[in-house]
Amino acid sequence: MPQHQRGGGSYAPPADRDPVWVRLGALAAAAGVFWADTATPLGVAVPVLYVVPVLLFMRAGRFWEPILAAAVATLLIAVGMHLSPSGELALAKANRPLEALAIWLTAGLVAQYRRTLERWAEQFAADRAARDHSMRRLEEIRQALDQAAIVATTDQRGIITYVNDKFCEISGYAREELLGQDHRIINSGYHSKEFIRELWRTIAQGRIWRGEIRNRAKDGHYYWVDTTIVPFLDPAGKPRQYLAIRSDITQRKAAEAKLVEQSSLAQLGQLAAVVAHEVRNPLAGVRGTLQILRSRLDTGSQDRGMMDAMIARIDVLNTKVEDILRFARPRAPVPEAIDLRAVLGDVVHSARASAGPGSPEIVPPATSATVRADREMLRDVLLNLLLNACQSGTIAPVEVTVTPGAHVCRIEISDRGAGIPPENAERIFEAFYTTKKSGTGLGLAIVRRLMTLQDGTVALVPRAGGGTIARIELPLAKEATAVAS
Amino acid sequence: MIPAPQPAKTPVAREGIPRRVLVIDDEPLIRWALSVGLAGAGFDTVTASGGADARAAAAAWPRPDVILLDVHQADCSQLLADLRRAAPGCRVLMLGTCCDPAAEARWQGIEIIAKPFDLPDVIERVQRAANGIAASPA
Repeated sequence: MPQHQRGGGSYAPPADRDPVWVRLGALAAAAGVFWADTATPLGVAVPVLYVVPVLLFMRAGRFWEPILAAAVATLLIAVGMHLSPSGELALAKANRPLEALAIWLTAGLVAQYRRTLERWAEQFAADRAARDHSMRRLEEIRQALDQAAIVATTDQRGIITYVNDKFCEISGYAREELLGQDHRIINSGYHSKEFIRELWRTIAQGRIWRGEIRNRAKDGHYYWVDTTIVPFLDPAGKPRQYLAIRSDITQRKAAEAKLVEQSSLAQLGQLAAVVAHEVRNPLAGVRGTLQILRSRLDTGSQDRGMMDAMIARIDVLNTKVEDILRFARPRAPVPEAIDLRAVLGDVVHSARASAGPGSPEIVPPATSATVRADREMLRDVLLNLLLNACQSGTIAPVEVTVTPGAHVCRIEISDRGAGIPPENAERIFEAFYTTKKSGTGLGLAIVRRLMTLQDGTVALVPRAGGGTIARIELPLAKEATAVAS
Repeated sequence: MIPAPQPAKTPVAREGIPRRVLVIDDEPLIRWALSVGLAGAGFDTVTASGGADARAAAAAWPRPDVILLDVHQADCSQLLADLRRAAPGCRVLMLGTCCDPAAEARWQGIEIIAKPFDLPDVIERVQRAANGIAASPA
């Protein structure tokens, strides 16, 4: 028997169980037939019993062993004929070759049977080895894929049927929370309906879809994944399941977005400088001329008031140009160590004066810290956020808090106003986006620009119990950091 | 806001001769407003719209005591050097829109008046310059 059949499970032929016993049995059977043939004068049909050892050999040994058994049986028939008592019938002698023929035919069939069994077994073993090899390779590829990529499978309706560890890690969901859900659980709402429809159209037609998708993790943060979705089809050609392979490209997208922003800001800066110059130069002439003309009018003239109004409009227009320049072409920051107590005191004072009577009270912070920032920029940022909070529509006090951390200091300005609708939360810092009736829509855009220039961050977050928290974070000045640590 | 034309104030005249101010700007309204405003404050004003006129005016007698120069004049550095050579000792104030801090940084040490300006403020600065008093930072 070939070695690889040993212990081969249910496919192993039963001959393997005890070939020695079977061979001994076959030899005993052959000896018995020979003895009967030589001892019995009338045993005309006895030699046909050699079929038994031949059949026994079917259960044991290689496919040629029944042939060997048939050859031995033929020899024994010939010997038996010679040794048998004289007087045997002529008919019996004539039967002997027929008996040998029957034995050979049986042996031939048995050998063929055994040969077929062996071939099947060999084929089976080869198939299984190939399958084992493939399975091993598949498993290795799966392990490598799990290490390298975010993997998920879904059924044809998009219900998640498998997620790997990386998927759980990046999405922040436990496996049990994902299985049985569809991908809406991580939908960030960023992509258009048309985009999603196109994706589904592609994979439902059995074609591979590739693209970049922004998803939302459980904690609300966004991540970008480069995605390939491969449909697996049933015999009818309909998708049976989808395999999605993703890689995290959040950092690349952030870098790209930053580059695009920088590049467009640089272009906007150049444009703004040119436009501002083209506006301010004639404004200077018009304003100066108006002042001369006004001075020539009688003190009581009504036209003086009109001219004052015109000059005031020119100044407002110039302020807007100034805003655009501050956003599009801010000067380089000059960072220094700044004591927040002094700056905040000054800013709170200015905000109270600007907001006027009837506006909310401003509660200054109880604590202070020394941050590293550009004094003028920080002042602009704080004043803008404070005035925003004062204009939030209620008279509930606006609270300012300062919380120094290990490396950054957090300043929060909290109001009890109407808050920001979630759909606006993303866009509120975009330039020229405004929810107010007047204004250039540059206030918060300038705030973000100035904070970025000072290595800080700014965010507007909902306040528990209603309202908004404007939260800025700035690096602590080195001396302060050293003390804190 | 702006003083009506009136007799010259004391600091403006030197030995009875009014101080001369040269205004160089390509915007006619600016030239007109500054020359009328400064004349009202007792200055003798001349204006120029470009480099050639400006060089001629600086070389003419009497030499200007103060020059108001638009930073956006063509080849402004060369023009400034030529004017200083033609009128040694004159004080220079520049007029700029302050839209391009990097471009205006090269005029370090020279006072820049931001457009659109307030006329009385300009007159005050010119008076200070004429009297040789450095202006306090704006």
